[in-house]
Amino acid sequence: MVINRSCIFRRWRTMSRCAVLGVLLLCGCGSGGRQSIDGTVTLDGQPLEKGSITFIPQAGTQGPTAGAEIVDGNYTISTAGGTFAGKFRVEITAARVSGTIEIEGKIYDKHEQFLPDRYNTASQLEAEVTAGEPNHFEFALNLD
Amino acid sequence: MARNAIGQYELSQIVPNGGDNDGAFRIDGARRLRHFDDGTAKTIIGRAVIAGLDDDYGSDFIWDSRGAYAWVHVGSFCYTYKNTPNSSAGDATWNNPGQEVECVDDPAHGLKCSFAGGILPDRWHASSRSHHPRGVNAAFGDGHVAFIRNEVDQITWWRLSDIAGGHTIDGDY
Repeated sequence: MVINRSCIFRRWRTMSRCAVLGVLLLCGCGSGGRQSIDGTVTLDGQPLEKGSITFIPQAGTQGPTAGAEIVDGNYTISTAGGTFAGKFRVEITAARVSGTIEIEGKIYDKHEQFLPDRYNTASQLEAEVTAGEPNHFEFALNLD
Repeated sequence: MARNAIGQYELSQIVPNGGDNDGAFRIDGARRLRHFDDGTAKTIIGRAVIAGLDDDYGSDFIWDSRGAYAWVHVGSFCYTYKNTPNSSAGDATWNNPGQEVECVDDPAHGLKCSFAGGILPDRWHASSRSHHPRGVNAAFGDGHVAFIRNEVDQITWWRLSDIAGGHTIDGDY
């Protein structure tokens, strides 16, 4: 019986190419891991000067909570600190001075979270993060 | 230099749906083993934290009290489980710009801080953080220590952290 060695070799080469391709594809799935997120937040039409934004995964969405500080209406979450793709509840908080308070004999400015509950503790804000596409979310908030 | 420390957390008032607001420790309240209905082997009682810097910010009024175990603040000796380990979402503790600031946004040292802390504790929260790659160590009620990935599910993290939520832990961590 004659064994066609070159054919076996070709088959092995094809298989190894497939294996390499498979690994590359798996790597592709892996980079579908954490996603960067950015966007803007306005309050009554003006950029929110300072605040915090948090993306909390909802049931069925895997992985960590992510967030960033909002500065002059902009926020950016890097890939390393990002979320997985899925559905998120978004919480936005911001504080401002609302008077003074005395604690142990000292007078302090009283910083108060002033955004309505519907944007944070009872948030109705949602976002859907997708893999491999820019995740840019703009939130237009109103005090009333 | 920042350093690792062990922080034990108490309740977080602000864990939304999916987690019971009842951590292993709380201020002014004793815990007994019988309170750990979820089982001590499935309940985290202490986690790594990164101690903040106390004199590197150029002002006597700006320091970071995280990890200062003798300081009775959220983020000092007590930690909440609102956010997952090493979350990019900043901690919120005493932060009164223009006066004392005790929570400094210093990502280079692994310390993320939110501007929203203010001086009232009702919204304070502080995550477990570490310099280890990809996660933090956590001590469980039965004495074992496990490495928890930064990418642990938020809901799994909550369920590992409450003592009697009644949920099974079905995710990896």
